[in-house]
Amino acid sequence: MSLPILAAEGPNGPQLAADINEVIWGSLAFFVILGIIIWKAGPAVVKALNGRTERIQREFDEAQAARSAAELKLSTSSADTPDLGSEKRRIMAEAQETATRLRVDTAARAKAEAEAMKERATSDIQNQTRQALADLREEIASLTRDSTEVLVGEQLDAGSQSGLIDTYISSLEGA
Amino acid sequence: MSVHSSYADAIHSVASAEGDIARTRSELASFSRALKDNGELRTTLANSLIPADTRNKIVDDLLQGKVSDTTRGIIAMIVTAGRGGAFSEIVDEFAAKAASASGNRLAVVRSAVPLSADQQARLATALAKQAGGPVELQTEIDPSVVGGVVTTLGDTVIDGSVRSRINKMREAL
Repeated sequence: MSLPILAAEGPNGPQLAADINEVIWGSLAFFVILGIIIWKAGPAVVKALNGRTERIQREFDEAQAARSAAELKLSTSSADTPDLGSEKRRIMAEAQETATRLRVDTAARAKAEAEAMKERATSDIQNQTRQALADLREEIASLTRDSTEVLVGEQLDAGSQSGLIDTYISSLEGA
Repeated sequence: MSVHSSYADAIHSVASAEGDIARTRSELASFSRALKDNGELRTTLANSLIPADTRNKIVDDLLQGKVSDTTRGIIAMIVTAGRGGAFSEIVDEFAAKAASASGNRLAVVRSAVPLSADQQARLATALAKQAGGPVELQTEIDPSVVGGVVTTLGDTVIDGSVRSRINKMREAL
């Protein structure tokens, strides 16, 4: 509200200053300064813009190179990396083979130990049987000896005893 | 000289002084046999923890009126000295010394029944022929012989007992 009021107050209308010379000289100074700026700062600005463009281009090129290198590395590592599926299958196969071998070995060992235990048990039984038979034979022999001693002792009267002694002495006399 | 030999010499001296070596030797041999057959009696007489008087009382009870005073005195000496455990060895040593002193070799003759005088004479003659010198018999009654005779002459044993034949039969079984 105040601007139209103020413009309405100047002789050159609302858009221009009241003194036209001020406008002319102001404009002239503006363009002079503008020219100086363009003259002096223009190349630097252009150079800066060009440098920025070059830097962006360089960074872009570097990114492209990095990408290419990464793609190359990826393709190389993909070629070098074995197939995970086949590796998994190989590992599984090896594990199964190991498990099978262990199972077979364990079974063979268990069988051998069982055979050994069986042999030992058989041997023990045979030894115990032999020992029992020997003990029985010894017992029978002892009983036979004891009973024979008793029987013979009962059968040996004085005459028989004297006869045995005479036989003994005769054998020494004849020796 | 061993301890057994010392005791054997002492016994021989006593028996010689009493003039009855043969009887003493026979009675000591019989008592030695009794000790061999009775482990409890042997252990008791050898036990130094039992007072000597008690051990001698046991001996007195066993031998009262069965042996000469000389033999009884010798046994008391051995038991009192605590040598009851070595009684058999001492008596064997004494018997060997007695036989040797008379110029004879000692033959220990064990039988289940006593040998007659004629049998003893024949046996002594037969053994002397084998030993190459006079032999003195020490006869012992040993029921374990069952029948026949077992003679020990030095290190040689001539076994003609029924028991040895039974043992051979047992081994054959």
